[in-house]
Amino acid sequence: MPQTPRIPWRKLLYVKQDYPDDHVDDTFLEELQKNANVRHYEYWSVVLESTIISQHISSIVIFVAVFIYLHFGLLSSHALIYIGTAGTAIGYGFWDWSNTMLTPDSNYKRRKIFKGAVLFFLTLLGLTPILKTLTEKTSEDTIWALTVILFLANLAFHDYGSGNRRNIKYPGSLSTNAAIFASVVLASRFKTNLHVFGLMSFAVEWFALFPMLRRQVRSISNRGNLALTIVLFLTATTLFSQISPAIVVIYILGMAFLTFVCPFWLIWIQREIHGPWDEARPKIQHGRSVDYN
Amino acid sequence: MRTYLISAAISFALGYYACNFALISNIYNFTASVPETTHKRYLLYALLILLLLFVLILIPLERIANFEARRLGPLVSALSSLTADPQFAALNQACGVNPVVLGVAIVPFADDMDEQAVRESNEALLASPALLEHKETANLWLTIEIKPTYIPSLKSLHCCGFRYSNVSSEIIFYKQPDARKFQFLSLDPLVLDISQINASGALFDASMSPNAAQKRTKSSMGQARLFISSSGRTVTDDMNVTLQQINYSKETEQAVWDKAEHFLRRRTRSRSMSEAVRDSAVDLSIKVRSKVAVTVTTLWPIIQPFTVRPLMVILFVLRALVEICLWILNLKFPDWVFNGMAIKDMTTTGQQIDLRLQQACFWPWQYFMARKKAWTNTSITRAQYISFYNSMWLVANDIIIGVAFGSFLISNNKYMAEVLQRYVKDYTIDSISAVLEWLTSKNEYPAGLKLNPELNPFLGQLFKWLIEIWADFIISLQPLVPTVINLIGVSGVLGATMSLSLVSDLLAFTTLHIYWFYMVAARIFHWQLTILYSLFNLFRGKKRNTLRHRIDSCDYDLDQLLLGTILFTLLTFLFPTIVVYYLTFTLSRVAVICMQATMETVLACLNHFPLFAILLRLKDPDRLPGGLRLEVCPERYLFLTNSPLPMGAIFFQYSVLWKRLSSHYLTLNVLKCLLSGETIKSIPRLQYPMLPDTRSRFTIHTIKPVLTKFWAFCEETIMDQDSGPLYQVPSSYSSGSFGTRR
Repeated sequence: MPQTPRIPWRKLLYVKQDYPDDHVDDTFLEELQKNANVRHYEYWSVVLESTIISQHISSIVIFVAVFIYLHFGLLSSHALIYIGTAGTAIGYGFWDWSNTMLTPDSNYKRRKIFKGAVLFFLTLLGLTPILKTLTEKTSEDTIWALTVILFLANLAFHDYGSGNRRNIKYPGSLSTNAAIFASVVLASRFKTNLHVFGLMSFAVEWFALFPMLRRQVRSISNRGNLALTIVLFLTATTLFSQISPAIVVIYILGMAFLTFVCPFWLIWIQREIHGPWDEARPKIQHGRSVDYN
Repeated sequence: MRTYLISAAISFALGYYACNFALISNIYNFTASVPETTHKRYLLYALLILLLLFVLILIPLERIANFEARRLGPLVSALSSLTADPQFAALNQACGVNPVVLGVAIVPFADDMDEQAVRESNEALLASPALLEHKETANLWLTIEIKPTYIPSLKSLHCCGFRYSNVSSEIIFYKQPDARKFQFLSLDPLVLDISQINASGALFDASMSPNAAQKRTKSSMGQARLFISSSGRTVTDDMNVTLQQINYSKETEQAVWDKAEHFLRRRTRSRSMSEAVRDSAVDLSIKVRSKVAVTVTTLWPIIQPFTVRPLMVILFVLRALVEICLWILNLKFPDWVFNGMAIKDMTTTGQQIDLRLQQACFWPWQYFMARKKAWTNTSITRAQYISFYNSMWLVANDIIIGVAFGSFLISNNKYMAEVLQRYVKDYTIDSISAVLEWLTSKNEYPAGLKLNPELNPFLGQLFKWLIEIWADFIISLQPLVPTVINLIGVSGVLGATMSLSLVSDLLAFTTLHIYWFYMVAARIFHWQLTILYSLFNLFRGKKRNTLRHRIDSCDYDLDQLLLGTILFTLLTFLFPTIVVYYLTFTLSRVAVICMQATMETVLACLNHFPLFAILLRLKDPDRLPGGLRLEVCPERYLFLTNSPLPMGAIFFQYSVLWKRLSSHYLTLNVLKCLLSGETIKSIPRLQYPMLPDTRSRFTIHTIKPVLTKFWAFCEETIMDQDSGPLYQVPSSYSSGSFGTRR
């Protein structure tokens, strides 16, 4: 008996088909997607990405070192102000140039930026005498503890991911604010107005403007980013080698761990993905007799 | 013998005590300082009334039983004439039914007759045709036998001619409340708080209530003062109506008695000599009374134009002056002076004067309200009455205490001035400058506080400078202090409350600098706290969304962020210094507020002490009904008594005051104000729970309608001769045969 070819099965419940009710066709799971959103990391790309974090840690370490230099008189406030101003000028030049290169049609206003900068630094200059006496009666231990906590907050909330090169967005603003708070607290330990102003202006340049520049560099070229990382790392090492070799060792080890071990760790823990689709595992609380009847 | 000995010993002891401790002079002083002689008189009255009540309860039971049994005809006609009498229409309406004869009571014993005669007369009575006819026709006919113990019991019950025997019945006795002595029974406790009564409505509804007429129930009024309720018939409305009937039973009984005597006198042919003499004496007294009444009624139209009109004009002018004073007191400053407060709200004295004037405006109205006969709404009139006399007594007491206090002040004014000056200098100037000195001391941490070395001296110097200026000002006022104390003493004539409120104002004046310092410190503190809050939001990268009342995250400009954070740091480290100064002045301000609140409370207690109600409660608890109580007597009868109002209900104003005080001062809100630096306001209108809050606003526009209303009120009450309460005195004389009736 010649068998007429069967009409292929369709995944439609409302159509009467010539198949038994429990028929499972080969096409049934055709459209199943497995781990559609999982990214498989490659070791070296992760290492490259981790430079953002190491850059930021380096910058904090450099700032602390600058404070210690200033505090012990190894660095004059004049020099700091000059270096800061020169660095800011160079950085702004590069930032402006690269911005016009990348997005020529952007219409940001240089005049507004200059006006804001002048106004801000003048206000800072005016506030300096008040800042100088702010924590005079507070003991040093309180200040150091406060600073450490604030810098940790800065580290925790820093905007690592976004490529935002124009301004600071939430929650990155919290990080910046914490750093500025810490700088004010540190600056208030100084005895002269010039020291206070120097450290404050450096802090503003270092924590508010420099991260934007770093993001800019990263978006332009990976090689530049790498170079910047190495420069910051070396600067931090050199500056701190004068102060405390132990910290330098800890710093180097930490950076090595962050740059080389952590990416490996990340890839290692991602070899198996857990999720709500896993079968449930009973959680047995220890120290309590469980009665299963 | 022994009693003599004991009494001799007691009298000796008393005499010894009196000699040694000047008891007599103490007692004399005490009695002299007792405000009015009425206290003593009322106490005496209370004793007498209790005695009288005792006699009155026992005697008429028998009398009326005899009377009714023997003279049914006059009783029936008396009752029917009572029903027709327009003066009793309101009463009958309030009671629900007209009075009818319910039955007959048999007394099988008598003092002046032997048993045989009594039995015969009783049999004759039961067989009399009028009684038999009633028994056949009446809806309800009771035959009650009075036992030798004066306790009645139901013998038989006829309903439309049918006899029902073995009816289970409950007989409830009650002590007859005397409406003329303002005694009454009520299911609900008497509410003394007249501010809860809708005052304007009560004035017009009190005379007659149409609701009571609709609530006609079948339960009728027993003339033998027994109320028989068959089981399952008691509904709440019935209960109220019955209580109403009980409340007016005395008046009805009196009226029935008078009417019946009137009918009897017309019928009796022969009278004994003594009876004739007595009756003629009664007639004579009635004639004399009616003569007086006639002269008053005839003279009245002649006197009236010369007395009433000028009286009204004087009253009216006084009232107008009071209104103008009230208007001035309630005048508000423009907004830029003293935050637009009214004059009376700035000073305690102003509030006290305002209270007294408002009371004075309220009194005449309340007086007539209390005097008005309310057939249905007894409790409102009673509450008004108590409230009125309470406030009168309080004012009198207030003045007496005030005069004593004032004379003390005036006689000791030099010493008091010295003490006052010393205290003011010690506590309001020296102590504060000492604290400021301590806070600003160099090279030291006061109480371990790490104050900012620049801001702290600045604030310290500022406040020290201000306090020096204030001290100079206060010292320049020193010669005036004895005069001020004299003034306070003289104001005692207007009452101790006036002196007290002046003292409170004096305290407020001498601590004015503390108030200013507090305001300055609080303003700075509050301002800094607000800035810190918003800068903290900025620090977190958030912003307050005023449209949705929530905190949103926000992206600030770079310069905003940086400057905001620097200012935040700055203010955070300056904050403790500000807090220290704020706390210093806040605590002193809180101390002043506590003192003022204490004075205010004392003032409120003086203004609201329920003196009259307490005396009433002691003298005659029946006047303050707090509900009903049924007591089981021997021989299984029930006795309905009034359970008097508890003391808590009498002191209701104090609980109200405490509630208002605690809800104003002991709340989280005050704590919040303290912590956030907002100014703590003192409590407004603490003194007014005794006044119906009809007029909360006093403007120039309200004066005219109020005065016209007052004029109309005067005309209604004074000019109206028929129903006016003032004129009811002669009208009660003219109806001499009716007994007294108000």
